[in-house]
Amino acid sequence: MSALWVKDAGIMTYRVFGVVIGGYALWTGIVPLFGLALHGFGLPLAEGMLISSMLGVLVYIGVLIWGFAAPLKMRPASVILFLGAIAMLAAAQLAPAEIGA
Amino acid sequence: MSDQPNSTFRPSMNWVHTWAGLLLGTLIFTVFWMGTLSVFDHEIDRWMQPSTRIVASAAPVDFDAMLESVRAEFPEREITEAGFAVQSERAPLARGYFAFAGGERETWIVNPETGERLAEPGSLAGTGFIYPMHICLLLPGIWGWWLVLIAAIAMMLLVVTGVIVHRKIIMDFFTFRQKKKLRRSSLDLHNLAGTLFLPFHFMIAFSGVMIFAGWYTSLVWLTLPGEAADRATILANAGDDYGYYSREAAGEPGATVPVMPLIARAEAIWSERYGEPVRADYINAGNYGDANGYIWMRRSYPERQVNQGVDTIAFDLTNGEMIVDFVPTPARQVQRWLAGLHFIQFDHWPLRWFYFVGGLAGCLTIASGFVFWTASRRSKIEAAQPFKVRLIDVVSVGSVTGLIAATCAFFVINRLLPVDASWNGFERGVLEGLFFFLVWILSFLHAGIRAKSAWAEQTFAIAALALGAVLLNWITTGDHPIAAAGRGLWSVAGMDLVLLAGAAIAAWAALELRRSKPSAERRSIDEAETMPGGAAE
Amino acid sequence: MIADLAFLLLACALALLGGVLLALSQSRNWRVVTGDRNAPPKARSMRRLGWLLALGALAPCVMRDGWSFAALLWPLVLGVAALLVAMTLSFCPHWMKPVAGALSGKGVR
Repeated sequence: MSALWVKDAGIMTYRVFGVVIGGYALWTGIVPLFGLALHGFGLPLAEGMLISSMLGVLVYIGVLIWGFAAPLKMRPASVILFLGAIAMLAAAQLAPAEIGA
Repeated sequence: MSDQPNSTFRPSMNWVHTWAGLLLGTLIFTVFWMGTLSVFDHEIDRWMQPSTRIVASAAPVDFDAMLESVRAEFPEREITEAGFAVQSERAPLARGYFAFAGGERETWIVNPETGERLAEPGSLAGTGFIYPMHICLLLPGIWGWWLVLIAAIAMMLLVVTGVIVHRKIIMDFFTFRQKKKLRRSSLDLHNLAGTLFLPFHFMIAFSGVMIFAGWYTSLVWLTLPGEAADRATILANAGDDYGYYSREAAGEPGATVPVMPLIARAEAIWSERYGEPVRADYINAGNYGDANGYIWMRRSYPERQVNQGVDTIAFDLTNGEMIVDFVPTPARQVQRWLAGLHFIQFDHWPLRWFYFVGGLAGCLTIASGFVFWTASRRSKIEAAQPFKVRLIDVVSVGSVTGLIAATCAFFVINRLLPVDASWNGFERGVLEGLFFFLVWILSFLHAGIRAKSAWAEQTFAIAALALGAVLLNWITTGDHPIAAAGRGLWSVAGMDLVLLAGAAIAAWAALELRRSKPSAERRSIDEAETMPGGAAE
Repeated sequence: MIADLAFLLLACALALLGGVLLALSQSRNWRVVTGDRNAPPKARSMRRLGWLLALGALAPCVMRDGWSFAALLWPLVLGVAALLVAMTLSFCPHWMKPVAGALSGKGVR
């Protein structure tokens, strides 16, 4: 009985941590990536980054809802953590060395 | 509970809604309540700073003359930076902010009508206490800003999950059965206030995040090591171009040209560009008296548009040459619209009052959510986990009625402290703030001691304090609502009337609460189990 | 100035009327106001007209201040109007009797 409770609490903690922190990583990683993509389509970089950061928060809300949609499952939290890490690493790698006006 | 028996989606959203509400309800309520009051921050300033109760005048203030008087007042000091805020209808005083070479700072408050300097008003009031409480909880460093971000994101999450959880009853959005038991009436109120102002609540949280959207995502890169992370930081900051201008000091003395002609030049450029008279409302001179001196000015708060302005023109302060003429780009205009709708510095009184109602509705949604939680679970969980229910009850009483009572006490102490009050080196304005927090802490203690009567008693206290504030304002300043309105001080009269209305509503609510004390709400377990999704008819 | 006030009042009036129609189109509110246990007559037309009036309140908002302000004003006008309707239903439902009478007498087109 108590072992089950500890397991549930562990899963719950992992889910909250993964969805909230991983979602934040995904948000901050996606914003520069999408901003660069908009820049690639011809927008000035400042404009692209601004549009991207305005949409980023909505992505986070969506991630939070999706991550908490299924009870007591660890998979969404793991997926979000993984995607967040990928997005942040990719953004750090793809950021241009020179930011022109 | 749900139309699909195997669906876990709504129960999961219910879990998120409940826990986010319980854990972050106090934080969200604080931000929402202080934001609601900030709708009338300048009016609160007038009420709490009687020396500034003047009617707005359009007479331009000569900032060169102000600089001259500052030099005359402090002949031994050297001005290094100067900021000037032009008066407006709601903030009728012009202000100068000065920094000196020795690190000293001075604020210079001027009555535009007479040109005379006014003494420090002795209260932080709306713009100095309530508004900072809203934006950063008065916490040092960046912690407050991050907590408020969490509150805003939680608010958006709660709005969305709330729609999913209460989907069935949301269509009954005219229902408020105030005569029913507290469990039912609080849920009605929660759904009513939440549904009717749903777009407003979402937009106000969203726009609040939008003001600093770039900053919130750029800061995290500082935590990563390596050169790529540096580049990512610069990239993330690339969207944060607000047209501010600054440059390094040269370290050599330089000439300073008069300020007023430069302001007139900038206003002429903008007026021609926008085809209407445009005013510069904030002016900032940096490296004053240095060979690299500069001055920039902007129209931050255009009166007849939602968008907050970022039009900025900067001049070389040594010779008056224009350095920068910053015009916002299209995406920046969208962001400025979102920021403007949050800052509501535009001139639109009906909308301002609607914002106030929408803000109060948000507070009501959060408060009734708290009440519903305890009212519906009391009988069920209290038997098994009495401490949990007691804890949540104490937290919700202190966060809701305690915060409101502390705010009213803040107004009362403002009218009781003598003008030159100070204690232990704290100035009058700080003492008011300390008293606010003292009352707030006491409200939690009171809730802990008085248990089930705490809601009603603190609501009575709110009524008494609000009424007391109005009476004290009358006694100490003579500006009872009719007299104030007669002098054209609608800010003071309006605040008095809102306090009176608040006192009346609080008194009524206290009587209602005493009638249906949560403790009287004992019911069978099965009934409590059907909430909240199943609480529909 | 007068035009501003007129547009604002018109927006509030449309929103209020729409709110009253929407509220009365629901059986429970109809019963509270009229005491009639039957479903309200022509509930569907009432609901449609109610939404139409609420939508119509956008027009005076736009004409008063332009789209930029109207996008903020309109949802709040609707919210405040619906709050007034809900409070009327809760505390003085008999105030709506004349409207309900007119609706059940002549029906809604």
